Amino acid sequence: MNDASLKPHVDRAHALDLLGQMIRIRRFEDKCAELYTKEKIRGFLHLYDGEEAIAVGILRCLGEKDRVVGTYREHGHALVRGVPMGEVMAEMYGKAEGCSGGRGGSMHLFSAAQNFYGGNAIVGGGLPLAVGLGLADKMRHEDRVTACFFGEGAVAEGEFHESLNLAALWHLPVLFVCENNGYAMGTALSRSEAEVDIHKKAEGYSIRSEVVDGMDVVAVERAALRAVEAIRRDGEPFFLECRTYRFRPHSMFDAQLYRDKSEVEEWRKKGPIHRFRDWLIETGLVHPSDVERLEQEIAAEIEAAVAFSEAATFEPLDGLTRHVTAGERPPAPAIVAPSAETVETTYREAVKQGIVDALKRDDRVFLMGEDVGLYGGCYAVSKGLYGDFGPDRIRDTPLSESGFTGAGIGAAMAGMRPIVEVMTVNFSMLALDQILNTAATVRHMSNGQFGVPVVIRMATGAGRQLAAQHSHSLEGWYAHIPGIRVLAPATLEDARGMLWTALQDPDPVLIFENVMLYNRVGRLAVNAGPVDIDHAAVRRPGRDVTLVTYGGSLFKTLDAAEELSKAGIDAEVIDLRTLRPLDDATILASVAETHRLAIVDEGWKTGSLAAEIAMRVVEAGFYDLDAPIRRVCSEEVPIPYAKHLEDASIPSPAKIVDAVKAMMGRG
Amino acid sequence: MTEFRMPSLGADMDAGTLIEWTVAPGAQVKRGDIVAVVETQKGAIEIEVFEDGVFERPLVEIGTKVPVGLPIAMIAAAGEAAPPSPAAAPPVEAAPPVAAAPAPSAATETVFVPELAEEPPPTPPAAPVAATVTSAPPAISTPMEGRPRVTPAARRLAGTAGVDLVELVGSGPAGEIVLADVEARIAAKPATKPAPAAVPTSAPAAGRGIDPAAMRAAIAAAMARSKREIPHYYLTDTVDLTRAEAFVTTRNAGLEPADRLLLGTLFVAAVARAVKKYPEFNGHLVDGVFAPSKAVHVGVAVNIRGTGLVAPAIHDTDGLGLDGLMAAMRDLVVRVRAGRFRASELADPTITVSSLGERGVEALWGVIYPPQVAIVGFGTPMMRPWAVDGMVGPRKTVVVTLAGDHRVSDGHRGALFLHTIVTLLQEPEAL
Repeated sequence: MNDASLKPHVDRAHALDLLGQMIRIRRFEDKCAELYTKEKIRGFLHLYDGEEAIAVGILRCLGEKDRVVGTYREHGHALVRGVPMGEVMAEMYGKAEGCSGGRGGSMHLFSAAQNFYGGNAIVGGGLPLAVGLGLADKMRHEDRVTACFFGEGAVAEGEFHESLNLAALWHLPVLFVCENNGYAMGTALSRSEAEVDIHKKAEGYSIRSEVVDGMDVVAVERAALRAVEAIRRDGEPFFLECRTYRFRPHSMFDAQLYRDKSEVEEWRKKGPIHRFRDWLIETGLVHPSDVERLEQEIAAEIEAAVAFSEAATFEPLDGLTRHVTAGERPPAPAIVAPSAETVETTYREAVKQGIVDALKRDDRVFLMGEDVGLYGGCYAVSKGLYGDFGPDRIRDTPLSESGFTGAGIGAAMAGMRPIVEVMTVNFSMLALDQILNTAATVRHMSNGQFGVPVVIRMATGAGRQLAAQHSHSLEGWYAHIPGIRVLAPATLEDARGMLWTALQDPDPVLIFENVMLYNRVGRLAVNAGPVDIDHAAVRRPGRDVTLVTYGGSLFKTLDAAEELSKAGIDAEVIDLRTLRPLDDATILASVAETHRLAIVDEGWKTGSLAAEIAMRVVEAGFYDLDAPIRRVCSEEVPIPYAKHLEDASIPSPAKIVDAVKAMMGRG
Repeated sequence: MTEFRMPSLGADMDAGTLIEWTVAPGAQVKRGDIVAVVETQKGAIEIEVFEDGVFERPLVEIGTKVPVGLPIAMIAAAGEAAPPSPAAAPPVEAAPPVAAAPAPSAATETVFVPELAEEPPPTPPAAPVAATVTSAPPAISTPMEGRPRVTPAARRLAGTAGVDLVELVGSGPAGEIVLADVEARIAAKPATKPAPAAVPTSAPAAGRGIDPAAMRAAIAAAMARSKREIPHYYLTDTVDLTRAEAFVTTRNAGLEPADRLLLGTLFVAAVARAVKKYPEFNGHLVDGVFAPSKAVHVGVAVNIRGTGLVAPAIHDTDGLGLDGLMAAMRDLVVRVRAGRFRASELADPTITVSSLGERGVEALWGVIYPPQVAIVGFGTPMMRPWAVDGMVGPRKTVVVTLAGDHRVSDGHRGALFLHTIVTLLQEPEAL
């Protein structure tokens, strides 16, 4: 391909298309502003006036199979990409016929049919997602490019840097498009960045970059053609900085105290639409009557879109919780009678065998995380797998939790089945944005168009003298979030069997492995395989009191139950296994028999999962209770280093025994 | 001509204050033109029009705060006929919709003048120096005080099995009544049908003596409930006891004191007979539904010196005959004073008789014992001047009263019931 072929030949039809698309966006945004003032549209409304040349110039260069990740200022991108205007407008109206079923609104337009991945309103949050989409395509050798749009405000976010690094490191087909309009909301670039030449930041990651006049649609299109061609040819990311300006305020309720009117006027002179239009008329390529006709067609399209939206319906209230998780999940794996033949193994080995099993069964599965490869995993879970499965499927990542977790999420959305390993739950806070704002919400925000079948494993819990930044039990926080499933395998069977079932789940599943369990030795049936991830299990039947626990506290609780039996107290022990959604039925059925409940939870007591369980029993089983509910939780301290202090800060068999005896009046 | 309205620029914008018109009346405007500047909580924002036309006239004065959605100006569509001369319609005064809306008027101003002339409420006395500062969580096992603690499960079982919680002593860690206590009680005695009201005694079945404090608490609870829930009405009559006394004297002639009939026995017998004809006074009102009782179990109030009183039932009072009734009453009084009566006797009365005996006062107005619906009171029999056949003479009489539950019966029927008692006492031999 020679250089000439990379220059779009601006013939009449092409020119009219470019102009028409830009006018279409401008008029649409204008109508949105009007409808907003009339309260037809609510929430935040960010308009694209002035920046139209970028969406039009770039998206023309993508094919149907390519993917698009947008920001909250994405109406224009959705329209150019081919999402019907009526559906976009109906989404603004909050109607069920909207492209996100009224669940997303202006900031969250989605369209699976157009490979349009939102509508992402966490600044910088879309970049890891784009990396993941690109990773999936790369791993499957698919010829697709992912175009990822973001504003210059995003370059101050850590996720920007993590994502650029990952894309370059892994040679991913991602086109990063920075729409540099000079203001991050109201903060001028010079007030937020030390280096205002944004494209230079790409150099730091060895990514080719280019600056282009974002007000010139032909220039943008030419640059995009070059960039996309390079990506397809070299399998490397590309970075385009498009310098532009937004004519309207950041959002509707913005007094624009941060810029002068004269500045806006100066930029208006460079407006992408009128400059291109005037040039086309001047050169004779387009006649004014052509423009008039375009305007009329667009006015009619907008009128029809508004009429469609007005006539559209609201989602019935009984559909409120639809699409929080998939409507259908695969059936639970068949229960296989454990073979009499057993082998001695460890929890660590059982987890590893689960991973190996998944890698062998499904080539969409891969493991990624910090030091999972050559190092063998910080808890040695994946030791040796790098040699067996190679660097692609046992993928070492940089220390960028948000970036690689988001990449796992994106890869899952594109059809892969990633297992993301985060070293400890404390570190997962760095990835919380991706887990909470993307993984847990995408299905709902997109009205069920996209799901995130990712599995994220992480270590949790205290006991190894790792002090306050490696030892906490924050799984209860995750159990707070709708849209994800949270598992806590405690037994060898669950360590071995939960992963495969989790990978079959259409929605994100988090698996918490307590660090004190990895070395636990036991016998596991040789035919151990997938297990259900829906139900709690009664690990010890008893009549006098129900002890509910999970994960690392299970064996402490079983020990306590043995001790209690010596005092004539017959305790039933329930292993929650799944922390979200909770298996209320098993807990309530047990309490209905024992009439007493104590909960053992290594999380802090305040706002704990234990509190949630207690409250559910109070709500649904109050009249079964014959004693106040007790909790044995961690003390309200950051977990300390010194052994005796650490021991004192978390649940222990002795604490459990004392609590139960007290509630039984045997204290 | 269309109204140009205060636009909504954000979900948190309720109103804007007009600070500038950027176009003059009569000016041509086109879609997108800025026509005014509005002050909001986020600062001044220029607002634009979304149609082409002529800016006819403002409807709002500068400085006016206008709620979102109210008209602030009139705009004539392009080509629309010019309105009447602007001079004829002075711009601002001609603004009816707005005048009513936001401009603060003198009247509304006064509304906000706070009435601070009054003295502020007295400040509470300085708190005592906190000597109780503690970071310990509240202990679960605090000693029992006030309302007895009953676990939810124990309360539910007691409710369905008809076990009276007041009869129980808790065995829980903090003395609370737990499931096991209720189960033990059920095992010890068969359940009664409707859960009876609290009855003043501690657990006699266990052979313990009467706890005066517990009894007082139980009486307090039952009587407070009665006065809270039952709309009492009261009727009274006076009974000439001449014939009754003669009957008793004749009958007791030659009998040992232990075998003698008492006037009070006649009273109970008369009530038991009378109530057969007036079933609305005999039974229990539970959960708003009155269940008349076929059997007549008259509760007889027995005073326990220095402690309180109880009113256990004499089962099937109407079938005992006078001698049987007398024996039953003697037996009951002895057992009550020894604290040895049965729980069922406390739960079963269908109506209560309270009689002051010889050492009382003229009349007694009873408080109905829930869930019963009537109580008949007899004062102390005493000599009164009495008119018979046009002559006044001394006669022994007793004042009889009825307290009835107005949810179940009315005064008319109550009067007939009371009158029947009076009549029956005139024919004691028939009792």
